[in-house]
Amino acid sequence: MILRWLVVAPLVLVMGLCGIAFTQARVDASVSQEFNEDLLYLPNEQLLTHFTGGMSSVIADLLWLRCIEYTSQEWRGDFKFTWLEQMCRTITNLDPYFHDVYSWGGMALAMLKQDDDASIELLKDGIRHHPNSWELPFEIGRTYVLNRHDEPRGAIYLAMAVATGNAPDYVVSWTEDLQGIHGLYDIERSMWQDILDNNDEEHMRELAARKLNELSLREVADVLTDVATQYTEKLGNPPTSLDDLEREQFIQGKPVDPLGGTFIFDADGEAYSTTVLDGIKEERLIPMRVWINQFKEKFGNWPEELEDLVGRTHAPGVTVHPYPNGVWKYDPETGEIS
Amino acid sequence: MIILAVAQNTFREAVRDKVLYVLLFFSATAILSSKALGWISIGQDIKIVKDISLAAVALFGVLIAIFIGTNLIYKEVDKRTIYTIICQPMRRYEFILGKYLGLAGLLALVTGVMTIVASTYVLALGGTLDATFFMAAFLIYWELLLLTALAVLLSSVTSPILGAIIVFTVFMVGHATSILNELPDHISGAARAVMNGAYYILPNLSNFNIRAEAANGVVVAPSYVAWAIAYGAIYTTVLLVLASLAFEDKDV
Repeated sequence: MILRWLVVAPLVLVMGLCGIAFTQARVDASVSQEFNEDLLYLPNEQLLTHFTGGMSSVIADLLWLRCIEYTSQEWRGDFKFTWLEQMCRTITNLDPYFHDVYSWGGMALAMLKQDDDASIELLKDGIRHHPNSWELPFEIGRTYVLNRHDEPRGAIYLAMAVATGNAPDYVVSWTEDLQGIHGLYDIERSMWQDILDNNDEEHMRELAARKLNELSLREVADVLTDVATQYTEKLGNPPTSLDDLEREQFIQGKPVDPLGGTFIFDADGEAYSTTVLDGIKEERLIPMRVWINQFKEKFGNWPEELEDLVGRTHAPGVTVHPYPNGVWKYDPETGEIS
Repeated sequence: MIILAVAQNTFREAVRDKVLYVLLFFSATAILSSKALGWISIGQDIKIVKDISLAAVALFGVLIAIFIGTNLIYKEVDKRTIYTIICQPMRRYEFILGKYLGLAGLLALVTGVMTIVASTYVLALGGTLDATFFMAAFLIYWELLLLTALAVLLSSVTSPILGAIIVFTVFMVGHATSILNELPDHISGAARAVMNGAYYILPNLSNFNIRAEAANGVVVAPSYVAWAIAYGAIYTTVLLVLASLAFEDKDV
């Protein structure tokens, strides 16, 4: 009895496990690439969505893990990524809100598989489900710029990313650069003018009128920036105000903002319209106030400082104040921000 | 009052069932081990934990509803304990409703515990929870109530094994009924009308599934949840009335 349990049973167990491990290794070694790809083929993801017994989101997660593994295999292997689009499509059919599959899949399709069309289509689907995501239009813009060298179209998508109000500063900066280089103000003006002339909704027409005014002010600010560059070259330091430019006769008179704002310069001599900056500021304050209220609802008190919002609410980070060297005025006693 | 007494007894009896604890153990294991998948998911660990947690609540809740629900009436008849019950001054529908409410109470306890475990785990991993997560858990419970009503109906007219198969089939088909409303163009005429009619008659369990929204932090309109609850309440009521009628006519 003792011999049976102390010797025979462990021996059988060890031999059995070795046999199983050996057999598994042989099975793995004998799997051909074609067989692996057949396994990946999901013939009709639309039907698959219906027959998951309500577990489509979990199946999407498992396919996502398989997708990462597959991409890694292809990266080290054939570099064909044949099934990448199919896998991303299947996952997003199963879970249409899976944000990272759109952004990661879009980037991988464009950068690794060099399939711009598939990438852009996937990302556009993503925008339909995540209209407030800056990453998705940003990826489309990046694909247009880097893969197709179509900077004007890329700038339009980058502008969409900026318009979400969540885009980081470097995206805002790239967009401004691209718009300046390619004269996209004209396209933007046409689009807003179209809304002003043809849209049925009064608030949309009011918005278009405001945006057209802001567009003119941004163009004036660009001209002032060019003048400030000449001023810096001549005098060695950038102007601090319009008075400097006027005094040194770089401009004949101060430009007038019909909306009551003025123009300011940052330390590098870049000009800004305060009306435009105030508009951006108000747009950025909207999500900040939502996050502050989220914090209050969750923890029962206002955050001590704005950095407390990050990680505890949906805030991806503290939004940068649009004014050069501007800081948010925040009162932790009342939760007021301006 | 009689209904509550039956419900309390049913609850006590169901809590003693070992199957319940086995299923709860597997559910908790699934929830706690979900992090392992998250490690290899490129920053999607919290989403995956939420997904698997809610799926575990739903799947194991359904299994509990099936295993206990389909036995509920049949066991009483099979063990002849029904005789001591129906000779009491109570109507048969009171017995059915009491049995149902007892199991509904048990499912409330089970889904509540599993939701607390899942949400604590998500928070412990540094994730955040929003109202949609708890709405999703509540709609899972509402789905379980509907399936339990079906299980009780079947328990009074058929054997537990057949009842379990039917409830599980309804669970699977109930999540696929939308296909009947998205028919390809070549299906037309009477066939299309029948399938469209079936879409409205069969239980549409997808109505209770907002788990993808919950895992991705997507806001769900309260009006949607209210309509889904109303749908579930009406369907459950109909099934319970049928169960009562079936049991009224049953020779025991």
